[in-house]
Amino acid sequence: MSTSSTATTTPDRPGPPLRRRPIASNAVLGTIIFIAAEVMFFAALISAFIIAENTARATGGWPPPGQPRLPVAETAFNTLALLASGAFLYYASRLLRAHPEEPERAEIPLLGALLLGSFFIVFQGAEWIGLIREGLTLTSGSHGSFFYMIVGTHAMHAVIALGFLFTSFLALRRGTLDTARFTAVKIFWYFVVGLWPVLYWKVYL
Amino acid sequence: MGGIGRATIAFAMALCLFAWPRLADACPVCFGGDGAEAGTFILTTALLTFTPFVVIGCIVFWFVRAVRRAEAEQVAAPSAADEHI
Repeated sequence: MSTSSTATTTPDRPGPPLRRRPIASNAVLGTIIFIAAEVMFFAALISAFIIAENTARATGGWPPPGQPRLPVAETAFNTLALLASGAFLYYASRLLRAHPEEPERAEIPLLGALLLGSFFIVFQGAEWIGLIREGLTLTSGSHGSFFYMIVGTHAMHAVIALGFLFTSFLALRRGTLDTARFTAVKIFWYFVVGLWPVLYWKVYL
Repeated sequence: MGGIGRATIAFAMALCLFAWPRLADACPVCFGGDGAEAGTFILTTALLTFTPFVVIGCIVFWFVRAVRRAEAEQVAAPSAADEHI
């Protein structure tokens, strides 16, 4: 189902009936609906986290005593990398729109977005290894459970979005990039990028 | 009951209950602890209540804007905005 405006015929014009160009492609519409559901999902996770955090603060403090502290400064740097990735993708998209006849101009910024996004995931993986070694695991308490649940779910989204970004990059190189599909990938990546600062603020700070 | 009917009294009582929810004291999460938990509960309730409206509002805003843009393109270049079936 594509979303399109209604008029289908133009009486003063000869030929077959006309169909308005869709306002949004199926890919874009599907991504938007998916993201709307994901926003609610993360809102629920954050809600549960806030209640657990405040209840723990009232009793024994947060993070609970004996639990490792999260690497706030390192993750702030990683956050900047992810935000830069979003900026690179935006720049690539601007170049594609401004120079549709020269799509190769967007290759470098798109590759930059891809590499920075990959850096974010790898850095986060390394951070997790350190935290697990320090004793913060999924079963070590509510702190660990919430941390891995929220940050892990975001990381899963980031990995999937990176996969789409990678296929878009390959399509761009081959000259077969579909604009509608790329728009859907962009929306998904912007969601991943835009959500992260909120999670960082709530979970790390 | 004289000039004041039962319905009026029931309405006034319901109003009082809404105005002073602590009278009911029904929920240990809302009214237990030192008040901070109640604040958290209200905050998260508000978050989960209003988020769908914000999300749907954003989608509607985007949709209306996209329709207007398509209509503007249609006026500017009718043949470009349409396609033959």
